[in-house]
Amino acid sequence: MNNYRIAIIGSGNIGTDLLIKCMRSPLLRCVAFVGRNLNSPGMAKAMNLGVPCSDQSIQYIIDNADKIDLVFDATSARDHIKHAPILRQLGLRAIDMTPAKIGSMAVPAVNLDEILREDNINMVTCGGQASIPIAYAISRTQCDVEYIEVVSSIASKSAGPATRLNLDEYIATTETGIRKFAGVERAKAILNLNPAVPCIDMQTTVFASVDNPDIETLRTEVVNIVDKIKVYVPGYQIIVGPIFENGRIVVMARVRGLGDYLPEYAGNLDIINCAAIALAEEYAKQEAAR
Amino acid sequence: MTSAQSRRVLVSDPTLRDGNHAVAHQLGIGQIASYCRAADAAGVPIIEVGHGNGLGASSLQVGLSAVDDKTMLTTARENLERSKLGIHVIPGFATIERDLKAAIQYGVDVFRIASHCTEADITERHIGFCRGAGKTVFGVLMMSHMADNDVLAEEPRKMQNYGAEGVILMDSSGNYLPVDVSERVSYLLDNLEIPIGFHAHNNLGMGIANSVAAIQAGALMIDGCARGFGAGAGNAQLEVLVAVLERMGYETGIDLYKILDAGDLAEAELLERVPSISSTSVVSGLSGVFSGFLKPVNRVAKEFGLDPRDIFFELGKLKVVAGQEDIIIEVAKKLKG
Amino acid sequence: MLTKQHQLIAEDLARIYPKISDKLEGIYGKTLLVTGGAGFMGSWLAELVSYLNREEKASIKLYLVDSARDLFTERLRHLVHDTSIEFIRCDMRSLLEIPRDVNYVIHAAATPDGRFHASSPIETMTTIAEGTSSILRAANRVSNLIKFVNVSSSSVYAADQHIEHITETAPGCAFKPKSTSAYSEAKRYAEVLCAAARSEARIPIVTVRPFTLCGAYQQLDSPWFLNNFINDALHQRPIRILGDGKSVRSLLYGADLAYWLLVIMLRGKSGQVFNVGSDQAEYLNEFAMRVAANFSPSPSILTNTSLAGAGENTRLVPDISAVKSTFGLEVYTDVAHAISRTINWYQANLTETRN
Repeated sequence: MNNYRIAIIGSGNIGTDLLIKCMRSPLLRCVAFVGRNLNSPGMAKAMNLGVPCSDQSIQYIIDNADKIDLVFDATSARDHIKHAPILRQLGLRAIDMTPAKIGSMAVPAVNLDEILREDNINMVTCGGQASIPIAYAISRTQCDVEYIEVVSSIASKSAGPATRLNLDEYIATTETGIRKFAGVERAKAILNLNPAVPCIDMQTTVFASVDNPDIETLRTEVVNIVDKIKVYVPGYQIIVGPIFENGRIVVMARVRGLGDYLPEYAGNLDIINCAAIALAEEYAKQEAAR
Repeated sequence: MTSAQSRRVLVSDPTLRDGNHAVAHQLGIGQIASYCRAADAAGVPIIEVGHGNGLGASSLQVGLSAVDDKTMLTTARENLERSKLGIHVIPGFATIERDLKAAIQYGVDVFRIASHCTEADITERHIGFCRGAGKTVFGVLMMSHMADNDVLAEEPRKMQNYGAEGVILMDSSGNYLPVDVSERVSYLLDNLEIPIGFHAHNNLGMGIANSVAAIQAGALMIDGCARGFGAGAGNAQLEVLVAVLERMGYETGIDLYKILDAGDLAEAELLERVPSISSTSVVSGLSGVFSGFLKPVNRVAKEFGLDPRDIFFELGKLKVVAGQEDIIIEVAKKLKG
Repeated sequence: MLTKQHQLIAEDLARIYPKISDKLEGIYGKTLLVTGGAGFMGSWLAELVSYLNREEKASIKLYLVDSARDLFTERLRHLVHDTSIEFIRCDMRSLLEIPRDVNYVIHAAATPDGRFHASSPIETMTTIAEGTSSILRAANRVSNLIKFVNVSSSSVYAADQHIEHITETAPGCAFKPKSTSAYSEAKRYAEVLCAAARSEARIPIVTVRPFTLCGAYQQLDSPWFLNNFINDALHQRPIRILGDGKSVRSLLYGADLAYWLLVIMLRGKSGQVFNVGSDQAEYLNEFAMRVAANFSPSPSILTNTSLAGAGENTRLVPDISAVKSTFGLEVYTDVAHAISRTINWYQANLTETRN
């Protein structure tokens, strides 16, 4: 085991949280933790864990491409747009954790098999990861679903400047994801930040307008797909529904984070990282099977 | 500042936006056209039109509007000559690409970009975009009763840095008393150099009194709705506000008779009922929950066989913010056991 | 078995407790972390937590973070086996994380020693700047952080002898970048950094600005007026005042300080700033007389003993109406008692060292 070699570029909170998850995985081995600043807390953490570190950013990856299988890019949208063609040319798989999202969207509970063939993958958005499996379940069990809406509430403290400046991108990407995976023509995404303390866990509600809802079949489908999600996001649970209320199907999910590097209430950040790790592990299995 | 200038108050009229909350966002083209003409004739400086939760908010979460944004805004634009057309915009609901660019096309003049009172930094891009397009931009802090002075004081400054010309404090749940408003507005004006506005709700019967307190403390902008047509127990009643302000020696630029006529028209054509303070509204005001929750809470309470007042108190404890209407169902389920 | 010094402290804490106990509601079962844990404030807080756990079954868990392990084991050796108190040896500049169970942080790490500021102004500034930045970043990742208290300093104010009592909103002085202002500017920097952390990272931060403090756990040779006077008296020398003794100060006792810090920590709101000190102003020569009165025979008091002239008189006294009106706190230990308890502690220390 531990044969699939991972490099992480980007030593901020997301990269560091991925590092800790990597260390815990029996299938993955982090061979490089790369950024711009050796003095950052993430770098110090990586050094403590005995992981090779470098402040040479993408150059390190170029110089060591033959020792790496997959790269998590947790830098920035601008940087990932520069990195993506380089990684493709080096023949390295890339999982894009930035807002760039130039590759294929992945939601492990839904499109795992197709996505394993791609070389640049992104994890959509936090609201997307939480809602797309439900939206998918709705589209598979209901007739004539013409509109799906996703509302997410996250703790204000879990939303840093990067999230706040990119609300529009969040909305656009989530809507694209819903339309693609649920096959609906119209989708809408809404994001609320709630400053209440103690911090709230991430909460996502999926609404669908359906003329003749079949809640029983939906319930079974939701249970099945949630079981799949829980394998890689243990803190995911359905808290309401599926129910039919005021002419709409309603399903509410809550995500509590693992608290690896980020606080537990940052379920929104954790779900993306858990999904990314799950994907990497599937690549590892695929590789091992060869 | 001359004494004439210091007595001028800029009135913004969200009858056709906040009022939409009271009719589950079902205002139609005819109603919009009609009220716009009346308010324009009265010389109301800014007339705000749209879904209760603003641009791009028509949704299953907060309710679908009868008429889409484009139709609402173009209808209003056609029926306004002197008055400026304003909109309410909440990032997280509205986006630049899909909604703001279009709004500029439709001829909107005044953009009020709103966030929850502690989250002003989500408005940076949207304020910047509108300002960059040469439009008049104000920042809005919703549910402002939920933050203490020290925390609240930082938020208007952020909006000002992003390019807002002024910041409006909203009492979205009608929770303030006049002394709270005086103290709050004075504190902000002592600590900031930015024009401050106030938007009252009437849940505790303080709509006019709070508005007057804000202006006496130095607020330069004030919101009022015809007949108080607005979310929950309604807003400060515009006709009354104009009358009171004029009597106190403030200039609004609004013709009294014509605004009274607009009030009559609103009652005849827009309202289903004249706003009053229901027992549920009193509770939502006390518990500091967004007034726009009144309709959905009443509906869910009936569905689940619960007392809506219990739901409001529970929502107040959870400190829910505007836009979190989905939590109502969760609370109902929990109360049901 | 408590030593005499620790008996002294325990008695002081017990004396004040009944007057303040209702304000400490909410502390039971919580976890505190104090940076600068082996210093004056950290030591007093450790004593208070130990007292509350022992006598009131408060079940508080306390982490003390400091780079000076030996200072901790020397000062607080009676607490070394107290399992509710844990020492973390760390230089603030390289602090990466703090335990995930922390509910409250009191950031008191700093060296208020003027000699260090004079000789090492760069390190003075960087320790405060980097240290504050590190603890804020670490605190930001803790799930259940309820409050962060930034211990600033009265040095952020301009010491203006015309201001009777300095309020929290007193104006700062014109900015002059001299190395002698290293400490005060670094403290101002830290306060602004905390304001930034509140605004961007939504960390709930309350700031306290301590004025002159007295009590156990200071050093006799520190260049503060009371320590100088006591040091002289203990060594049977005349008490030397450099100037004419007409500079004005006040003194807040360590036990009062420790209680005040906990109450402000529990009940202060994010963004608030509080002066921490006594408003009972006295001239330096009055303090000198009080010190002398604790010795028999009393040492004489010499003024104008500085060969070079001591310069203008200064006044540094806080207005504490904010803590009084917000929390109902008082100065619980009057100045005579504060000075005599402090002297007793130093005396017990000296006796112990000699034996």
